[in-house]
Amino acid sequence: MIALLIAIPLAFAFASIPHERLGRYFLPFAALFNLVCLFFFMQPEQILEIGKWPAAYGIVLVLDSVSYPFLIFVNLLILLMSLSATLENRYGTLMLVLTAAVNGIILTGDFFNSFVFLEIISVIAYIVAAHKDNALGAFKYLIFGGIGGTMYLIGAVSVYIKAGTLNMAYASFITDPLAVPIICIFFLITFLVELKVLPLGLWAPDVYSNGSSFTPVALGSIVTVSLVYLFSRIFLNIFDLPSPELVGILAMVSIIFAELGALKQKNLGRALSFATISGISTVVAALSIQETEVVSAAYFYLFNDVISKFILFTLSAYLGKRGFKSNKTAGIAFTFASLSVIGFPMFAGFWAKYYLLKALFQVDSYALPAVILIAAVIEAGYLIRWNIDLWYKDEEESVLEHGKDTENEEGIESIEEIDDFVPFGAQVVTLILALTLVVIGFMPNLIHDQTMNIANNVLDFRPYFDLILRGGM
Amino acid sequence: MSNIIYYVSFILLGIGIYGIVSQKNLFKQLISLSIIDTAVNIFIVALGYVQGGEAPIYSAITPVANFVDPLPQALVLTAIVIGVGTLALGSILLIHIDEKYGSLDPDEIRDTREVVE
Repeated sequence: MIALLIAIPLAFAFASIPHERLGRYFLPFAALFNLVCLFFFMQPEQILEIGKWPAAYGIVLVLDSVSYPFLIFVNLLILLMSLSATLENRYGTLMLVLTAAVNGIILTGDFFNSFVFLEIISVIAYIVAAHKDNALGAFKYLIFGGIGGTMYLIGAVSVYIKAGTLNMAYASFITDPLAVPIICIFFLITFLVELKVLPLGLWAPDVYSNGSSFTPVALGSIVTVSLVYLFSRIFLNIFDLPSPELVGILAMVSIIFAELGALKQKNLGRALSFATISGISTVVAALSIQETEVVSAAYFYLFNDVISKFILFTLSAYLGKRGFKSNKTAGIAFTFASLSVIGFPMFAGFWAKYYLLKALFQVDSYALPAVILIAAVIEAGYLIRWNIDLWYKDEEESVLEHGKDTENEEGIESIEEIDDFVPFGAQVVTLILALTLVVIGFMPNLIHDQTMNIANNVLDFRPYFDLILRGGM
Repeated sequence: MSNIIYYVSFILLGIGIYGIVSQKNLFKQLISLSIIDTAVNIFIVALGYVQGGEAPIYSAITPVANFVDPLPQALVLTAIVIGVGTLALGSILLIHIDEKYGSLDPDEIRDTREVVE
């Protein structure tokens, strides 16, 4: 049954090849199907042995208390993206394959299988990154991602050589004390590239700022969440993170440089790209501490960051050179998301930062809180500046300029089109997400209870291994 | 002597990484990435190699033979397919870059972008 989460989007993708136009209409149905299956027909603690091969020999798909919430979150993001983004026909099929791959990478319990899904995600990511004539940014990503993928392959094969199996649970029994850190370093390089920790994440600003309504959402939200899951599975559940202090320092340096980079930008897309790097670097820094409370807070932080950036990137793609004067709904959603990223009280972001700082102080960690607070001040600086700029923008003038730039003498027509420059679907989705941030701001336990549950399970290897041992029943 | 194949793969890996870091031309960077892929594939095949080993096919003649490990070969087949796909995609991106900027040299591309902006 759990294989359907991969098979159905893939079947829709194949079905959309002869009818290219239908791909983007299939996407919400595939995501909705997965969500219905997850909510009503699938519960955690299930395992599927592909071809009835037992775990140590064959590929297994695992639905446990860690992968289950991640799957729900990822499929929800895909559903919302399919409603809010302006997908061209040919991108529908790609997004369906991406849906299958992100579900696969979360479900799989096999290292080589996860490499295959990672590469499928990467290839789609390169194509998506090239949207809006951004081949140069996509190529930069391809070089970084290519090296990252190769490192993951070396890591996976090294696991096989040392453990005699590619199964994740059995791989944790590698006894060679020298082999494990070396294998983990290979995996770590991949994650530093894909999770955009500077300097290996330098590809991200060029890719995320291509002006597309779905590139930053697909890569910065959907792919990032699935890779944070894989990072957690490998480094918190199966192996130990090699030199966590070093990873933490690297991530903290990345936060500061990314925030300074965001402050300097004159393009909103690039500023948000650097802000995303900072957000995910904070999550990596927190996860490297490997304490239950901190890990839980890191997931809460991830949740807030992904939702907020979803809103900000979607709206920034539609804004062009326009402001919020003629579209206050979009403006409200944008401002709510900005305030949540900053950590303003009454928004989910406040609790994300509060829980993280509290948990860090509990484990006597003071460097990361200092960096988070500095980052919050810088974030407040540039996000408030952007909000003021967009709310008080002299729209007629800017649109006339924009219209003249793009459509020669048709500037007047551009002004008439102002009212609906953000599509209805995007307005509804971003507003719902913005209100979700407010609701969580008042009821943080809705998310905090879930993240605590994930953190407790991800740091305990025994339930995962017991599930694998029980096999496909 | 049997370890020489490992040295070959590490040398190729070094050449590939050096190429990506030192070469400015984007096409040369793509070729360097391809060299890294090849190096890793050679490394993986070498891991499954057994001196004087038989092909891993069970039969009446070879019920208990000194088989080579077939799994790395299966893995490498997948890795080759993925590598070729990435190489093809990279080439397409380079064609687009060349059409847009008239060059594959980052300095010249930067100059063209500044003129356009």
